[in-house]
Amino acid sequence: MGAAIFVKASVVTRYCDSRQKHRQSAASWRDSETSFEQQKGHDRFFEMSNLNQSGVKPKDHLYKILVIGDLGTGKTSIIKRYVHQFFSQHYRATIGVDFALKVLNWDANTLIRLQLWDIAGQERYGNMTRVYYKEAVGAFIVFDVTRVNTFESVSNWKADLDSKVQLPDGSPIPCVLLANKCDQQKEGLINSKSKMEEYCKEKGFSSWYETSAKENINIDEAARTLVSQILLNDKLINDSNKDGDQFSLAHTNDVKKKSCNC
Amino acid sequence: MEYDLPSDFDIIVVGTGMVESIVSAAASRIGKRVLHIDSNSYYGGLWASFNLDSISKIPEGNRSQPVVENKENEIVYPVGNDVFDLRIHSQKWHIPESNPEKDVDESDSAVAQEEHEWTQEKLLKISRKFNIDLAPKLHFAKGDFVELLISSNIARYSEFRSVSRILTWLNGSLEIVPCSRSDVFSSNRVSVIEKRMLMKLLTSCVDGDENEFKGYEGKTFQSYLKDRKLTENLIHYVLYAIAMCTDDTLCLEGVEKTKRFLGSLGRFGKTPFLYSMYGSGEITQAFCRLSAVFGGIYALNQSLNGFIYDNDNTFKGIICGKQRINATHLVMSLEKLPKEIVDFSTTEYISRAIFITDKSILEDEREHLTLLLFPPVDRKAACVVLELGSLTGTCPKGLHIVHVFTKQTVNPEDDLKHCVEKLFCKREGESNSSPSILWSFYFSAPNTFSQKLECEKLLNTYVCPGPDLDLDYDPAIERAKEIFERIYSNAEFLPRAPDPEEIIIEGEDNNNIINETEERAEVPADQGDVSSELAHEDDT
Repeated sequence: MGAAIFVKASVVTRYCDSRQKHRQSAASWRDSETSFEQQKGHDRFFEMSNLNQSGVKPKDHLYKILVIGDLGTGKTSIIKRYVHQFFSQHYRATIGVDFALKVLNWDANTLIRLQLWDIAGQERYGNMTRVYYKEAVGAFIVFDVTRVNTFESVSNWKADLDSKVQLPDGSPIPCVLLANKCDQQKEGLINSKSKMEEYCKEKGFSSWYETSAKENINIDEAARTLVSQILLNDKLINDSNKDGDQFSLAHTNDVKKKSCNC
Repeated sequence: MEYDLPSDFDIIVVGTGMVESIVSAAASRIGKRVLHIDSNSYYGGLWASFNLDSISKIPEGNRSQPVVENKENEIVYPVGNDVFDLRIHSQKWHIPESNPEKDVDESDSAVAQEEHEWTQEKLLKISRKFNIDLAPKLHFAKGDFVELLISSNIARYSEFRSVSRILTWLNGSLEIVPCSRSDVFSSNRVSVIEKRMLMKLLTSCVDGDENEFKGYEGKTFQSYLKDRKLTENLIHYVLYAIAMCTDDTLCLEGVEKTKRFLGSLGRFGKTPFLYSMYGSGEITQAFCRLSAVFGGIYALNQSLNGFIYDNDNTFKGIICGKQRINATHLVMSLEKLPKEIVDFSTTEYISRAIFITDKSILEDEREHLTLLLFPPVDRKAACVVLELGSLTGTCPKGLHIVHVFTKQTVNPEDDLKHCVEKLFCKREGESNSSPSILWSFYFSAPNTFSQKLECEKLLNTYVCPGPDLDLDYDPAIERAKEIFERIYSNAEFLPRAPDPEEIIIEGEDNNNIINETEERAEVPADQGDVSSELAHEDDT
């Protein structure tokens, strides 16, 4: 019953080799400060290295997407359905997982990796850390069509989202509203399509979908809509690339040096 | 979004400061059921970062103080004391509130264009671009904190910037401290002979055997440096900047401090130090996020109405709102300790000042992240000055945030005055080459590092100190680890958390695993194995 989780040791999806080569070729340890660890930075580098090898330039994007909403609205189910193609009514709160990774072959030249960040169910009282919001470029807000109070929370979640994360130019990140559990009896505003349209316009949602993680309804469609919105901002997102003095310590690959440092 | 909290936990952590957050993450990581709550509506407590608008509203602490209640078989202690609060000395603007409509006068317009005229209104409008630390920290590139972030894989939650220069105040002006090998050789402030002396000294500090320091056990580091025939300038660089010592620091301590500095050189950037992007307050949240991801439950803005103990003074639970929540252990920040229990004998305080300024203390072509180690003068203790530019994500472009702090002797303003006067324009409106202070905030906070971990009167209760004077988080990590090990004596402290990519979620039918593997196989072939990379992290 339920979902079991275990750690897979051998296959890890990260682009390290190109970066490693870059670093090893560095003339001295001093250059190790320029580590292309940051996702956007390393994507850019990745593009460049491919360009050099083959002359074609496949686009490789990595986007962080937040999945937000009240307890029990089906956030984790939606992620599981979308990423892992299964549904279970009996899953437990997911332990130890920050985000699920979905790889999309968007078109012949574009590979998109989506990091879908669950609110770690536990940060459920609306107290997500900045770490959660940081550098997100899109969001789903989820409510449960069978419980009106989860819809009432939607505007709070949206306001909270907009106050905590913006695009580099200060505009809100694209957000799609998901009316989940649409295979069940609906309550409230959701029964009027035109009112929902109006609501979304007023609150600044890019779009909305009736979804069902259980029946696999509209989840791929909603994701596609959100990704197209994000792609429109792509230039904006990538323009905020960082200089070499800024880096992540994750996967730090130390250049060995034994001599006196001074 | 109102829910009742679950009512039974292994451990309740009260306060989201650094030490509490590390304990919370470590407990959650080994599968303990953790409730992590804070009465504040923000993360970080005395270790938090604020935007410009909210820092003007931080409470000094005005909590209600109900009395101890004795119930049948149980005692309920009230939460919080005022002993460990911040003491706000002053918070002032030094610029006009808004810009009155200017007469469009041809002769004035050139002047107006030249000067970027900041007003309170303008700054408050971009309030959210500020992340102002109550307790700014730097990280030694090879220090305990950086190693812990990497070994626990919490590093994935944060980004850093390297400190790009270290300055000192020498002979009446700011000087760049030559700290790396190439700095030493390219410096035109140091003669060729001095270069050799300095290199030799630093090498013997790092590699020197015991004989090198024989006879200096009771003597000062300064006397050692003098005996090595270093010039006055070199002694200054080594003693006050590299080793961050005073004239009285003992030789062996000075050598240890020199090693700490030199050992972190060369890993990232030009100096041994890193600063957390978007402010030091980010760091506590990285630990909180890990705790949450491993099942920790978070609730901020909670009204804590009491700690429940039985008649043997063993911890039973807390009262949160009207709800009773039980747990085996309680870990809390010092300022949450019941007033009746506080046993605070030390009276050491930290004097702090924060400024928003209009340009760097030492202008250069590029923006710097600057650490200035202001030496002790005329019985004034050494001051640490940290200047942050917009690239750190803590202030808007064109401005700097400057943190100045030292051990308190009188009050923040008097303790820091000699240093502040040398760096900034003396009077408002005066224009010379020094930066002007647009906004200033002086406050002090108790240095609680020497406070005991365990509450003698209350069992299963551990207290976490607030920010200390160390540049890095080393003492905080040490404390958190001690608390964790006392509670869970045989458990591993923050083992590496797997990356999301390393976790497979297995559905009810096994086909999912196959799908999963196939999907991964499609990903281009030039991937490295992160786990092996990390495993070899510490080969040096």
